[in-house]
Amino acid sequence: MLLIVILLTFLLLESASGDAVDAYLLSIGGGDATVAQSLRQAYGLDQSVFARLWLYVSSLARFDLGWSVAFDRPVLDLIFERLPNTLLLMGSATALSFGLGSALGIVAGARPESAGDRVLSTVSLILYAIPSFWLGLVLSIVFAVQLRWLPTSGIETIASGKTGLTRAADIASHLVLPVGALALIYTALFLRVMRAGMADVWALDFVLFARSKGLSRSRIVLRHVARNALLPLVTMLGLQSAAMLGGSVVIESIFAVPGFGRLAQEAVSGRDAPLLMGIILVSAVLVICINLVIDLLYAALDPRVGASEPAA
Amino acid sequence: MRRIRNLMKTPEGMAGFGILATLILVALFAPVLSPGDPLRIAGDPLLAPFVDPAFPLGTDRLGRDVLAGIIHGTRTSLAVGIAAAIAAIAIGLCVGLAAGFAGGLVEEALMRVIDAFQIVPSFLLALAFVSVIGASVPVVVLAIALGAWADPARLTRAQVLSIRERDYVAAARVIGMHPVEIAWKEILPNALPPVLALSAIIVAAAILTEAALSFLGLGDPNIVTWGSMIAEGRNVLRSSPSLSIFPGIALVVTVIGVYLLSEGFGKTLAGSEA
Amino acid sequence: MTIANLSRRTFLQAGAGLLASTALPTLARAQDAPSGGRLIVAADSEPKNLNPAIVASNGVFFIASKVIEPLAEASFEGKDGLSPRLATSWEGSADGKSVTFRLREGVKWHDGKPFTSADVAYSALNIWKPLQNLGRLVFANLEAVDTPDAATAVFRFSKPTPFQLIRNALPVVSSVVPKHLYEGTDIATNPANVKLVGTGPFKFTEYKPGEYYRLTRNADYWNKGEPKLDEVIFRVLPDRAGAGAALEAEEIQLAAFSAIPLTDLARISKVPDIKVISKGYEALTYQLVLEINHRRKELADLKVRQAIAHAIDKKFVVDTIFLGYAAASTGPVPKNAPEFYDASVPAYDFDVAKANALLDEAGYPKGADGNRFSLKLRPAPYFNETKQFGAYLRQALAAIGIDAQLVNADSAAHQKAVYTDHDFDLAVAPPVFRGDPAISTTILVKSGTPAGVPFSNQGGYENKELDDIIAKAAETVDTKARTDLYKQFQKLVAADLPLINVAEWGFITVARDSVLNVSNNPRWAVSSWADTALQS
Repeated sequence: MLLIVILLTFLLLESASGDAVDAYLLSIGGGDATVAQSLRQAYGLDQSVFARLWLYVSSLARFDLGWSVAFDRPVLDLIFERLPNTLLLMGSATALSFGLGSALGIVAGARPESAGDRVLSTVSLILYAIPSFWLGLVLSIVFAVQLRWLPTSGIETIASGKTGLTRAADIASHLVLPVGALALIYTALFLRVMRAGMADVWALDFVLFARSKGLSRSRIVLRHVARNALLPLVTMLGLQSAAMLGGSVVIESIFAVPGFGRLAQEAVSGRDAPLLMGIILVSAVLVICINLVIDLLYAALDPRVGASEPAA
Repeated sequence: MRRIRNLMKTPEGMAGFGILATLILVALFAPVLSPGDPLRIAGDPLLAPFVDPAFPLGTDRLGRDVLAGIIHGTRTSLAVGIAAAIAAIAIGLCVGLAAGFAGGLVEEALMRVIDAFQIVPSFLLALAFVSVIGASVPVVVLAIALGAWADPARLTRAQVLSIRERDYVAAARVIGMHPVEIAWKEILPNALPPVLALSAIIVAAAILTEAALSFLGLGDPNIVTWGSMIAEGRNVLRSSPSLSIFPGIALVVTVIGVYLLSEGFGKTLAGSEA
Repeated sequence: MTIANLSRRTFLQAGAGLLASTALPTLARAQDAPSGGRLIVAADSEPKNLNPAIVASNGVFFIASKVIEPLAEASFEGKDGLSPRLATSWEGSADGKSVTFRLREGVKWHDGKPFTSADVAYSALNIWKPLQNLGRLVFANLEAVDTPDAATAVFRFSKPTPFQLIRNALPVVSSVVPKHLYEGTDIATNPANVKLVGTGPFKFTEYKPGEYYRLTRNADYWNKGEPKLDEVIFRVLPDRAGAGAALEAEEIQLAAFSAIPLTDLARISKVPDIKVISKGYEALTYQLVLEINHRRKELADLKVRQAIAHAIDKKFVVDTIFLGYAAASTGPVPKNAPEFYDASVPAYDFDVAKANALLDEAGYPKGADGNRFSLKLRPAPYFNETKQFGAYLRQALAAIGIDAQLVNADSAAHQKAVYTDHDFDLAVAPPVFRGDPAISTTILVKSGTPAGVPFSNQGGYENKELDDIIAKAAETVDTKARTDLYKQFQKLVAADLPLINVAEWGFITVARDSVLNVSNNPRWAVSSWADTALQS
């Protein structure tokens, strides 16, 4: 599976117009033909496609992701430098949107078609339709430039010399806006899934039975309806992890967060094949890991998924 | 027809249908509503909206009519969204059908390919694809479809697997129908509806992806798109916010229309099953 | 939002008048500027090789010029537009075969070792001549560098090399690096290419990829009393719209190279405590040029090229696309180079009727759909303005019946398509005029450059007469005769239109009022900033 990913990425970059040397020559404002040739030789770009693919795959087998042409540094170093920022951004956004989305979903789904449900559904629909880059722009202007409550961009105050808790607080304040922009949209998504899930569960026999037993409404909502409706939400979380990783590209570019998405953009514009493949590979592994965790979570939540059954 | 009538009974369906019908009419009659090239320089640059009756929504940085851009942008957004969804579903159906029907090694191989596409962030894929191949409408459509076909493929296969063992398929096999014919005549029609239900989500996602790509400067420069209007308006966001607000609203309304319609469909489907 | 915004704006504006009147006088005084402070500057790129001796580009100079110094820097007041840095004087011989530099004494590298003529000789022979993108051309005939003593370097050339060219190129090509760190190593991969060691006013202290570069004060700088600042930090903000927001929020104090979009300048200049400066880029003039592929039958016809030149409304380009921060071009040498500039060249007024008539004359009548023929137009993606000019040009050409299809590509793809594959009919390019036509301007029109060289003539244009003038000027030692040749060169280019020069522009610096001594030389953004200071 990962091999297919590698192959596809490699072919994609192979078909690209312009290579790493073209991109580099441009960035330095020109150079003559002999420079271009010696650079191509140095990067091994003068070898055949298959030779380079073979070289890459065989070094990959030794967990070596190769050398970034655009940055002149090992790919693995670059990735580990940027990954924590993206994980922090994605993790907080996921946690926030999952928590908020499911809570609001429960509120909305507790009394389907009530006024509260209608308001929440409408707001979430609008939020979900807003492009994240647009939301990011508006948030940054209102809260960072006009009100000056929060920093406009970056991941922490540069060269501040802060350590420990003050540094953590500093990073947190830088993350509020990008996380907010990303989380608001996913909150809307989770809210809608949760609410729809609850609406389905309300109609099921065991809920009708519980109601006929005269259990209190809040008890039914929380113990029976919400718990069962949470399952599709967890599945959704796994499915969305890849999308969220992709969505962070735009948000990172707006808020100048030195993360994975921005690295990917730089890799593409620098025609840096090893770096882009490294990024796609690591994000694929990341998505696989997230889904593994979610399968475990699913098993814990749903008594029907036993140890004997293969995980969903 | 009955379905559409049922659809109109739900408030979501009606609202969504209304919004989309209006947008489609706008898209179809764009050359009549606003004749000429919407990219032409029509007036003074940066006219404010609601001031000059000739340019109700003002003009942009180069003096292009914003209203004309929005009207013609409807075409691009809808065309790209729908074309990408059709392409994604077509690829998904074919692969899903082949995987579900063939079984064995073929199925195994196809499923791994589907997996591979599902674990790669689709926006990253589209970004790389468009910047590497070059920005034009067909490339953007293909890039979006490449990131979206895996879900319908998976769903189709699941449908095929559940239908394959049903009686009428077995009957068809007994009377000696060719497997391809069975797949085409018996299985496809039954597997289709749930896959089509996915289509609204794909259309909405495609419209947003197209906008995000244009926003990052990866749109076709020969036509107007809302995403590129927002991207250009972004440079003057503080002094002329209307330049990014109007296309933003158009985008939001379109996506809401698609969602409402899909929700209306969902309700009528649930209603007809009950 | 609007109401809150409005009230805040009016409130601040009331105070702005007062502040401005008290703040202005302090700008003028340069010498007694305050010391100390940290200047935070927006940077939009992170060059992988930061050594200006190897990569002479503005992106590298922007950061590296504070650490590594050239022999001489451009100047508004100095003789021949130069002010001494590591060299105190320079003189060319009459035969054009040698140049003698007197070097500054008592200068130390950041690691404490003394700076001597050996460093200059090493840099020139081992880096500028063989490795540097521009030095390869300027020092092509450099044979040896004699070092009679530690403070003298004599450059010897195998063929006559115009002293005028060397002099004009000095600020760009003469960054000196320490011999003791480079000798005997692989120069291309030397760690000092990233962690710079120089003689400049600031030491390279820290680089956090994706976030910032930190330079700190060099206490042993040769010019006592400088630098004024304790620290300069280049904060990486790849997104242009982000720089304006950061400047307004006082997260940065200066944005150079038009990091703030032109369209935002009118608004941001009204923000209190922020100044917009268009000075300080006179020696880095960018030119908006329409490259033409002469392999296309239609474009090989001079009448068609003239028609295109007449179809472009330069006033619109200057006023609307550049919002007045540019000048209309007359030919391949910008007005900012008065030494060479010649205004008496053929001119092309904006005249659509004449353009149409020329095309009819050339034998390309309008078809039934109003079109004469179609062209592929590739605007370079590097600047907002090149892209906008592309969008404008498509409309301008439509008015004369030429259907231009825009092709959008990223930098690498654009470079390959235009300069290697020649897959274009028209291309919009932003070449730089670097003080002397021989450095990066004649290459735009002379023939014989192999494919794959960016910013060179890849349109298949060949003109023997023009090639001869260029070749002759390259070896003419006499300054007057050489200047005259370049005047002929301008006339010929403007008449035969191998390419069309549309406009020329410098960048804009936006800074908080607290930053002093900004833009006080013609290459300010890429100079040492030794006298730049912060008002506390």
